[in-house]
Amino acid sequence: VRSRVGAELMRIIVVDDHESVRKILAAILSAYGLEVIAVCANGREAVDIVRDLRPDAVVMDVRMPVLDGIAATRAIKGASPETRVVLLTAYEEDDLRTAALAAGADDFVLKGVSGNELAAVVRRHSPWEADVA
Amino acid sequence: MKPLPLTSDGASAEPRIFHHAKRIDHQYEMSKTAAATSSSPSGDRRYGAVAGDVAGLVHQIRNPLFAILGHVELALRDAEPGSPTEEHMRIIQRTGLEIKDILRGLLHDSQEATTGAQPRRS
Repeated sequence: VRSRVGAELMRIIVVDDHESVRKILAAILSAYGLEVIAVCANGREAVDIVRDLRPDAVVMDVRMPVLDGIAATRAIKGASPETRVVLLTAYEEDDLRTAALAAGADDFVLKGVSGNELAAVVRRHSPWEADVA
Repeated sequence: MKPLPLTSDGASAEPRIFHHAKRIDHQYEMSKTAAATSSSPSGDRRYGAVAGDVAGLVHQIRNPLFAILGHVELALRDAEPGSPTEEHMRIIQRTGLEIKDILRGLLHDSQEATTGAQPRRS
């Protein structure tokens, strides 16, 4: 657990192949006090950027072209184990949840959640959670 | 009040998603009948495949709906309490949530149809 310095915000990367979803995810997370440092359109881009930026968390869609969210989670956890991964999906399938958690995802959220709820889930994985509590 | 045309081509031109939905609905009804009147595996497979199409369509709609509801949520944070804008936003939000419920029901029905026609995946 890192120590919190001043008003440092959780640094987030948003990953979704739908532009409208990318934009609203970034807007919502920013509005609820998280810092979105990059947005990506697929898992491959996300893995590359995570290596460079070492974000606190990645909020990522599951079904994407090039590299899907499950495979990307595995790669991200290999490259940056401290980065938390919250997978976001429109699919309510138990198999998908099981695969996501097996790949190392820290949370699995349906796209039906409100922005407030999503931000709360992401914040739960803050590296400063222990300090805040 | 005259209804607004759905597209610039007028009433005869429907958005592509409506055609897609109608096609799936037609296939769904046909395959449901086939599955009900026949115990053949091909009828069951077709029923399951159409149910899969319905599920795919539901998921396609969920992405833009998620974006709409997200923007409304943010707009409501900025709207002046009691203002007409806030009221409009609340109506959009309620309507969006109704669509979300409809999609959930549709997905539930299609999943039941799939599991009813085919063995559940382990």
